[in-house]
Amino acid sequence: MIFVKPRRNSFTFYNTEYIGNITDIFGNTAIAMIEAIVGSEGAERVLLFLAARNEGYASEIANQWNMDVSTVQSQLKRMERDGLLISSTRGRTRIYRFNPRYIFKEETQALLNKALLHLPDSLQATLLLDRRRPRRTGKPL
Amino acid sequence: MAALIVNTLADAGIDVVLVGGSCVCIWTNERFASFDLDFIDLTYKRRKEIAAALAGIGFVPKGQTRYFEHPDSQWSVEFPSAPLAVGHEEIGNDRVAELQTPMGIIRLLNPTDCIKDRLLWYYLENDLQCWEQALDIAHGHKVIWGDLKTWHDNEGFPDEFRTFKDAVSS
Repeated sequence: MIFVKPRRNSFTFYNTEYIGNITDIFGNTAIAMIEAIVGSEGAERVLLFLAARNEGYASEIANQWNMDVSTVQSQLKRMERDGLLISSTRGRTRIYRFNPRYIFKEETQALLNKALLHLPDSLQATLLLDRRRPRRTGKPL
Repeated sequence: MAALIVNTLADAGIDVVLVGGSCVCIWTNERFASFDLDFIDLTYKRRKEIAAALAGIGFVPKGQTRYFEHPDSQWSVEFPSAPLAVGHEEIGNDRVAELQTPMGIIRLLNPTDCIKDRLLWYYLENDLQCWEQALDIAHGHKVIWGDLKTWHDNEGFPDEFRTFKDAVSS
């Protein structure tokens, strides 16, 4: 199934059957719904991930969106610095989540939740599928 | 140190209010120590303007963080995001306390708002030390109980108000 999203004066085609990442035939990732508000595609993707999963760490967010880990880390640190996110460590991993004391948290999450609903179904399913239960080491996927 | 920073910033047209652990330090007569000075800027100045003002007294930014440090001081200064609020409750200028010190006036959260700030950390993050700090402040200062109850109700912690009040009375 293919849908068409107009981008300026040209059309870009997106393959919605591609589970996990949504990219066009040129390899550009499609998602840019609230970029105008949050400032960048990277920030948007980080926030959408956290809205869907409630928490996350840099490498899993990067893996979800096919982004550089360093870019994700930079976004996460900036958002923590500015009070939107807080972090804690589990072992050697730094986990980020929304700061419960951020005064605009409810409004921010409402915006993100609405944006999540406008993602392609396959991408919503991937984001909301959250396997956190343990898996025995070495068991085939 | 807080007064020096407040007055330095005021000279540059930057109006700040002391919040966080240093408020607790002041209202508990230093029973709880803190070397972090957290200020909320009420004048919505740009970070570089604040940095320029603090540079005049030797504080320099710590990388890309919100922190400022001084090479000869153990204090670190931070500017968390505005507005001045505790949970969803914004704090107006008329509620800010003022403390006269030899170095000048410090503007800071009043004891009741400082209690709210500590209790919010306890309710959200189970930080027991914040509970102890809130009790300590309540034991040492006049608490506006009606205001505190309203805040509990609005923040979604109605039962916790009674728990706290009983703990203060016991």
